[in-house]
Formats: sequence, structure tokens, C-alpha cells
Amino acid sequence: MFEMHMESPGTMALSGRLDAAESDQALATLTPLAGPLVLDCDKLEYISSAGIAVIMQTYKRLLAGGQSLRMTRLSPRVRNVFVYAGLAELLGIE
Amino acid sequence: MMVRPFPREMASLPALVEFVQEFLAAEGLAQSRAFELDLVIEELFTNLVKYARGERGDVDVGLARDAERVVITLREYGAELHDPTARPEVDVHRPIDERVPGGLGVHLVRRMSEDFRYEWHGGIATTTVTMRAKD
Repeated sequence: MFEMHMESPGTMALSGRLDAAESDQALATLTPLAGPLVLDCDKLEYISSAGIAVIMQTYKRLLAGGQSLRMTRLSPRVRNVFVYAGLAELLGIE
Repeated sequence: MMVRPFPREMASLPALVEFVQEFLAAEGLAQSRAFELDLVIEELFTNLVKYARGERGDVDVGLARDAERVVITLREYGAELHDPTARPEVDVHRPIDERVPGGLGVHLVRRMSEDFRYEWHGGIATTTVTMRAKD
């Protein structure tokens, strides 16, 4: 189960599990959005490389348009996946 | 050891998560181990969904443990040789514009495991990953 909703202008909340079964839908939801964009990961329980690929693709798209993507409130385990992937600093993950 | 066949499709992922939950409960292992087990199984399983060649039948997923380790196996029958451990290491320190998609899943498996190996004999392909049983 994975869900996304705009919790305020420019801030998208992610919840549940962003895995390979959900990544196409997640990318389709993010693709029309302009930046700057914040992804609130407070309720994101899990992410795999398929989910990371969605985030990276969105990051690159926004960067190419002179905009930004930042991720906030990650759980330690989700954060760890970004650290292993070498992306924590890039995405503003503390 | 628990072994179960899973249809080779992305739609099997929720059932794999459920399988890990059953294993943790049966072994009295902490729920906190689920994340890394789920991730390693997902990365290896989805690689087989996307890239493996051969008969492409169900994948037998096994979970076993001893005192300190959990051993994950993914076994295919009628498989062509396709060794995930032979993938080159991803350089995660390259600038983002120079990074190409792919390979990140295997990189995460390497980071989260103590041992990662692949064997192929007469069409039977087995990927084995050893991980810590406790945080």
C-alpha cells in the first residue's frame, strides 16, 4: 500500500511502501508537478531501488528546469537506503 | 527453513512481504529486521522478473536462520545463466548527471549482506544472501 497527497502547496506527503509494484504510479503522480517540491516522508515506511529511481528521475527533471527537490522527515531506515545509494546529501537529507 | 514458490511478476511483492512476516514470527525475530529482508528479497526478485531468461517459471524463495544469520535463497529452474553478483559495482559518489539507472538494487544488496553468491548447475540457478539475524 502506497499513497501520496498534497499536504500543502509544494509539499507532497508520501505514506506506506514505495516498492517496484508502486513505482510507476508514483512517477505518474510526480511527473506533472512543478518545483520547488518537498517530499514529506514522515509516513513512508519502506523504499527500494525502484522507489529511489522515481525520486532521482523527479530530482533530475526539476533540476533541469531550475527547480529543486528536497526530502524531509525520513525514518532512520528509509534514510539509510538513501545514504547507501549515495543520495542523502543531494536530496537535502540531514 | 521455509520455502515457497512465487509467480514471477511484480504483483508477488505483497505476498513476499507477508512471507517475511511469517518467517520473523516463526523464528521469534524482531520486526525491525523486516525492512532489510524485504529490500534484499525485492531487489533480487524484481531482477528475476525483469532480466532473467529461460523458462521463467515460479521462483522458489527460501528463508532459514541459525543463531546469528538469516539466509535468503532464490531458486529458479530452467534458467539461463544470469549472475547478479557479477554486476559491476555502482559508483555512488559520481555526480548525479553521470549516474545511469540500474545496478542500484544489487548495490543495496551488497551493502546489506555479509555474503552474496550465485550458483548455476544444469539450469538450476540459486542466489544466496546471508544477513545478520539481529540489528
